[in-house]
Amino acid sequence: MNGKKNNPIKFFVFTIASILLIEFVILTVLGRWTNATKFWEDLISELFLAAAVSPVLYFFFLRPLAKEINERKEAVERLHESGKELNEAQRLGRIGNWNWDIATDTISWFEEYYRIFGLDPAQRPPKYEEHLKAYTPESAARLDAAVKINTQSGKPYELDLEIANPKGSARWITARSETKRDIQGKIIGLRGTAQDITERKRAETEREQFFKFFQLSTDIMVIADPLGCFKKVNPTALRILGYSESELLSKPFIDFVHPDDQQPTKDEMARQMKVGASLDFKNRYMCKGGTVLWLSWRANYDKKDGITYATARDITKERQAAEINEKLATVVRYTDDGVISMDIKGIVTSWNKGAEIISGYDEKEAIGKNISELTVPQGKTEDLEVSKNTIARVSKGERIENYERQIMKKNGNVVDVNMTVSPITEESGKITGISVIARDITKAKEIERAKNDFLVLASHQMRTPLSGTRWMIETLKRGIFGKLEGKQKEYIDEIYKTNNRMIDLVSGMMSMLTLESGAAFKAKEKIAISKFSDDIISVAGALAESKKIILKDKLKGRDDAYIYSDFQAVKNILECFVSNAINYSSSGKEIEFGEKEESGEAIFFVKDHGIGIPEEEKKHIFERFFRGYRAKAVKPGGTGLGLSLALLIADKIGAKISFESQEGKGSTFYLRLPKENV
Amino acid sequence: MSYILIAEDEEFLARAVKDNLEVEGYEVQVAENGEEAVKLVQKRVPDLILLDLLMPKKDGFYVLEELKNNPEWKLIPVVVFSNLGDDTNLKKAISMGANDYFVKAQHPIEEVIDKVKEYTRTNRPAGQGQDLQKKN
Repeated sequence: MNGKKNNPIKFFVFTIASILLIEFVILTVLGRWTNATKFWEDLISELFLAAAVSPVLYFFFLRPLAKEINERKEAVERLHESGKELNEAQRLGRIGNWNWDIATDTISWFEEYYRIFGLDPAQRPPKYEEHLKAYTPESAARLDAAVKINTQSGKPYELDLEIANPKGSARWITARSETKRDIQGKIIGLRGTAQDITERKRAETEREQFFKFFQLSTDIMVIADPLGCFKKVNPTALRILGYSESELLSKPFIDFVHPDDQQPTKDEMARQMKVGASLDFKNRYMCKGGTVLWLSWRANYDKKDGITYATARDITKERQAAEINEKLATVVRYTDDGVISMDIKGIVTSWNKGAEIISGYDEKEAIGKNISELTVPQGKTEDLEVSKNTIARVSKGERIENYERQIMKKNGNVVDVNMTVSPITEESGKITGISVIARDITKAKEIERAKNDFLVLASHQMRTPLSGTRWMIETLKRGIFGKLEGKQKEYIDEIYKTNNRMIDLVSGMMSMLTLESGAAFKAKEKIAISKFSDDIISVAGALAESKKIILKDKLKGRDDAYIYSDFQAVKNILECFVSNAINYSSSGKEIEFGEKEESGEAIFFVKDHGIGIPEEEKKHIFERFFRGYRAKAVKPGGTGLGLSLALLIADKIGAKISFESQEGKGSTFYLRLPKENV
Repeated sequence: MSYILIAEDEEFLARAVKDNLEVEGYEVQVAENGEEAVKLVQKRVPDLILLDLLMPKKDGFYVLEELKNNPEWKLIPVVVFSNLGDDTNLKKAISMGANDYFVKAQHPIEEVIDKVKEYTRTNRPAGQGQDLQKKN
């Protein structure tokens, strides 16, 4: 309406001038210009007339007309403006709208709506079915269903729909509808809007994901306010601490901390407020039900709003394990026993004080060295072999207990140790190392040796009188002081037998003691198998003959084959087998002894057809002093030491003894010498 | 009649051997230690010596040494008595001139007598007979 204020004046002037002009023209045309005075009179009266008429004209006709025209113009402009505004608003808010008339089945789309679907606003809007394809199948189905309901029942919809976008990420809209009705209330169409909510949806999804994170995390996640209360706790926090959410939020969280840890926690929090973060702070929490758990915290303090964001992990088990380990470590540290660990080649990886005391080498000197080279007495190559062998065996999974050995200390002294050597396995079952627990038994060994020496000496001393009495009894039996009659003979015979038994017992004891002291049977020489033939015959020949037992010697002439072992040892064992065979066979029976080779092993055998061994006695025959009941009947004077001695000897030379037997039919005894002995 | 010298410190052992030998017709003397044994040899040279190695007051080795060093006694046959397990001693004895050995506990007295007979077989006449039979 600018400038309209000036218009009335302009208008008046214009009106007057126009009326005057018209009057002038009419008068001129009508020729009424007769005289000048009349002219000027007429003119002035016209002027007054015009002046009177024009305002009336103006106010009652022109002005309203002009106003109306202006208003119309303004209205159109306004409409135009608002149309533009609407478009702008729609563009800004990403809302597009549409309008559908059922009767004519026309649908109109408005600008932003086109843009939302990536279509050109100049084009005609697509048909409804075509339009549905723009959505993902799931969204299309939902929309279609909602539209149908709306058209039928008039129930409008509001849906979040996903637009299929083959090129990139998903786009989302909120689709809203409104029902158009006529005056009667009949549904004549629908109109609706679609708002692009892709950004919002993305933000929402992200938020959801983070929230899920919070919910699902297996760590405790909490948010605490500046006052020291939990504001938010995740489900894991509730699960681990055992309280309900309301319980946890109801008090300052320090109340849940173990009393001993409360001050340190407060200190840590104060520190955190200065620094901003705390990493790896541990404290104990009192859980519902009384359990105490160790938690390891990582927290971030936001200075601006005073909020603490923290996560925690339950480290109770780890702490317990650490405590146990610490206790064990202490035990290992302070025990007098040596506790050593090595890798599978025997290189020392740990060495405790006990090991230092026993060996004289400290940790620094021992770690990294090979245990065999460290401890085997100088020059004892055989012991070195045994040591390396033992390590090889354990590295394959064998556990060796009561392994006794002499080791050389740093100062050159030799000590006796008793060790348990075990493999170290990890959970997968793989052997990763070897552990040794060693005890210095030098003192005990000394005592044992002294005892042994005493026993050897005692046995030795016993032999002499026993030999003496034997000869004296034999002298009596010879009758040189007069022939023995009846009871005399009987008694002397009994005394003789008993004396012999004692001699055998003492011999057996002596042999055992010698073997146990470890000295015997270390020799290794090449021996022809035939050599044993001569020996056995010389020892057992007479006895066999006296009992009329036939010896089938299959070892004779075996110069082709050799074994590599201790001669005495093998001889003793074979003699034991043969004498047993003879003693427990009846007259006329045959005994066969020989050797065969099987899978690289040399197997000596002694086969008899004697009394055999009853089933229940089979597990006892190698026991010291054990005598089978049949054996006792046949040879009452036996010591029961023969086989136990044979077994001891076999052990010493690395051989194995086995047997087959059937009661009443006979037995076969085997001596197997392993490959390297062949 | 052959003269046998027994050097053995265990009295009853020596006695048993002596009694059995005497019954067979031998003359027997018993020395209880090495010193006494040598004295007896000096007094009368025996046809055979049964020598125990381990004796008090000069043992069997001393006797062997003395025998070796005397040209007259060098050739007296000596059978050494030993106990089980005395292998080292036995070897030493043999190297010092002993002819044979006996492990006491392993042989009945019969065999001792037989052994004596064996070494004195060619020695029926009493006294100086030196049996050169060497048995291993």
